Amino acid sequence: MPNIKLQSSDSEIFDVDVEIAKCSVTIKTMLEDLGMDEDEEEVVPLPNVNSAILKKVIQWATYHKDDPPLPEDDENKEKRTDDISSWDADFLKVDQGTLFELILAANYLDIKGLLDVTCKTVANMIKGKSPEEIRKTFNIKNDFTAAEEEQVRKENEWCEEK
Amino acid sequence: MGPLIICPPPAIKKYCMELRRKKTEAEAATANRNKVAVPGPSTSDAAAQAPPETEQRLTHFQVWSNNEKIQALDALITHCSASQVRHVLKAIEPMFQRDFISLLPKELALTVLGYLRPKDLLRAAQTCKYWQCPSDNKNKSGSSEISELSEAN
Repeated sequence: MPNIKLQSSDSEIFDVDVEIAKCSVTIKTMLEDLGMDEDEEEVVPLPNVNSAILKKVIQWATYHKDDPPLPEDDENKEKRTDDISSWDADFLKVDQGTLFELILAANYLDIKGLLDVTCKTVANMIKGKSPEEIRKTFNIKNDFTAAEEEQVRKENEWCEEK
Repeated sequence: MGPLIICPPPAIKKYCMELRRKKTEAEAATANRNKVAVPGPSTSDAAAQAPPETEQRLTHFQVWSNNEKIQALDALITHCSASQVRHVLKAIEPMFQRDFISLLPKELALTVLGYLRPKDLLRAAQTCKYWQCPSDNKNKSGSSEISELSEAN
């Protein structure tokens, strides 16, 4: 299998199987558009991804290299978040800073599977929590005045009663 | 201190120096932090009361290499009681937290919120002004993005 070299923002070079690297649509398009020959010793610079995150992304892509292509998003279908595989759940047991950077990297590299699973993980961190618990989870400052908070709470009461 | 700073060495040092002598206060601060969830004010209080030799020791710490600092911190932690270590943990935790909805690009924040059901969306909308209306930071009254999302669901 031919390899290509990916360079992180902090100048670390990663030697990666082309097929694995191509799970990133950004890299795939780059290779196709620029006609980079697979046997050429080209280095693909990824100025938006640091080495720690790129390492994680490559680890994810390597594990998922044989996955079937994802179905197109169906707007009408309810979006599930309980379908995260145990490998992915384990892979994403990281601090919020790392998860945040993984989302940005998955978006920049256009890796839909990774973007889906990271966004679902954040959604799961919100689900089932009270507003105060959500604030605590993400260290959010409550910037409502007492009156505003009461107003928002009242507006949303109908949903809590169900 | 902004939420994007990951573990800046000065902060760790401050907390480590602090916990060496503030066993009882640490517990009060922890309890306090549980209530407010913002470590800001109590850390500046603590810095104001640091013993006079703190600055000098921090100057020593500052000149060490990264490796030396890490070893010194390891050694320091082994000298701490469980409650002091817990205090450090509480102080460090927020540095690893991210307000995803406010910090992510809008389309990604909305992708995350798109996974929530109406009930969770409405609770999320009650956390702060930005979450109430993530696609418009100016927080127009009347129509908020979260409400629209939940109606669409």
